[in-house]
Amino acid sequence: MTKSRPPDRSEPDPGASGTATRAVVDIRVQGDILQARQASRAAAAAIGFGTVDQTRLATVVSELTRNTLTYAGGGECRVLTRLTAQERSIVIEVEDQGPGIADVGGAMTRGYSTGGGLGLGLAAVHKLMDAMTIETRPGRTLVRAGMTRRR
Amino acid sequence: MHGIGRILLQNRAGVLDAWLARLRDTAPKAQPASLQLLKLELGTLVEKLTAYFLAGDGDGAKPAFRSVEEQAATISAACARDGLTPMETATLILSLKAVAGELLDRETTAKATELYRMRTALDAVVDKLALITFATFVETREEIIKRQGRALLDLATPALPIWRHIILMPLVGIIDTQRARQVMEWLLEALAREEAHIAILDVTGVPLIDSRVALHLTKTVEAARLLGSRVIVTGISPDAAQTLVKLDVDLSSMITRGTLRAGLAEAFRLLGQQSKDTLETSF
Amino acid sequence: MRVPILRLGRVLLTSLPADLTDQQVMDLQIDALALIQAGKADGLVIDITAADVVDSYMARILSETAKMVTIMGGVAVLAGMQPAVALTLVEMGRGMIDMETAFDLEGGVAKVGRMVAARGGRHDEVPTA
Repeated sequence: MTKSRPPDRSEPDPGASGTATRAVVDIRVQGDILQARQASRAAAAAIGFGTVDQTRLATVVSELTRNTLTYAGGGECRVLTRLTAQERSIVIEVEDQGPGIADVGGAMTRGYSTGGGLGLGLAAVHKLMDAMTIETRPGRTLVRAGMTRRR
Repeated sequence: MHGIGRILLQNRAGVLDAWLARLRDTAPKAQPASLQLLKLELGTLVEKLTAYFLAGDGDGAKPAFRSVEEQAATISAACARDGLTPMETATLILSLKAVAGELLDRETTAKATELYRMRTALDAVVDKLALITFATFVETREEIIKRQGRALLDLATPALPIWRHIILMPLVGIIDTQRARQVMEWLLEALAREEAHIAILDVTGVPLIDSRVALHLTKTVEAARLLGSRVIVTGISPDAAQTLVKLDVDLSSMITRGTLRAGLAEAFRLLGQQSKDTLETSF
Repeated sequence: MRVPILRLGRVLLTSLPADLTDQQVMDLQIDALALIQAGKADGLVIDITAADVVDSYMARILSETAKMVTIMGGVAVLAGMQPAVALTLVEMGRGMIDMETAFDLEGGVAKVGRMVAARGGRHDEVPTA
């Protein structure tokens, strides 16, 4: 198991109080990507994220779920939210049982791709979100990406 | 302990008056209105302090002291908001030592050792209150600074529709990453809302333009292009131009003009070009 | 379901729905190129007013479609992008959308007109003079 980056200080902890799992979407066909996108947008709107942040999140979900469909044949997308007196945060988790990412560092770099995609997905996700971690080994890959805003 | 409490209980009014008399010397700048309020708050503090000393060393003392602490914190926060200096605030609380000390000297008939014990106890309590006061004062100030910072950030940068299809956004003040992001959002939303083809972003009022700000400007220009609009940046100072060239920042994607006036002329030229072409082309 | 492509004079117009699958984007590319090849149009305007997400995949397919249209002698314009989508694309990286843009459908049609004129006129006309 490799961990690509240490969690940023701003990474929301889904285990803390005030956390809710807003949606779990099974990713099997292309239409599921759209469903996961809508679920993340709705969850972000529900805890008060603005239009631009909602769009960033929906785009991130689109990238991650497409990756999982292309490289692992499918997986699961979870949307978790946390609302405290000071801040609102949302975490997107996408998990699959695929072959894993051989070169996480390479996958993060623009242009890298093994499955016909452009390979921009992960790098773009990292730019749009405040924090991102990748746990990967053959048989299990978990990508977590979080966004936190002061209220 | 109980002795102090009894003496305070009998002389509360006197202590408060003496304290306020000292206050007039220590904080002469304080406003009369806040002085009235302060008198009330200090009166409450004296009462709570009396209750604490009367409670003695028993179990009742702890909650009583917490109540004293809270009152001291309230006073300190009020002082911070009223613009008193930290020194004035600390002096205010510490002067209770002298006021109450004099009272004890005058009122007690006990032996010198007993009087010494009472004064030591009193001093310890007041010192503790002074520390709490200071901590609260700093906290309150920091909270105020934070709030002001946020207010500055929230200060709407207006996007003014100055002509059909042209909006003007004058930027004023320091641009940090968070504000730059906000400005970008506002500008794009204004472009969409006003159906503007051209935005003039005037940075005359931005004191510092470094590579980070330039990067945000470049992103804004690119995002506007995706909307089908153009951005003209005006008012880049000689200082900024020197910095940007030395930092080797690529601004080639950007239309820049020295003055707002030149920017406006360029905007009209671009608009004219567009409408002329459209008229000439029939589909 | 395939996204319909309309023809207005010599311009192809298409408006993408909010929820577009990857397959639909690919189909659109194929259909548009076929119409250009058939000589029915000089330009293509893709209106994305309704799209609330444009991810790197869709950005790539759109940019590639524009390049393919250009190679086939036509011009292509992307119109009506939402501000939030534009911001997101810019944050994702440089040059995610590598094609001409316009404010709305009307602006898109006008821009196609300007680009065709600049390139020497319509394909179905013998140049005068």
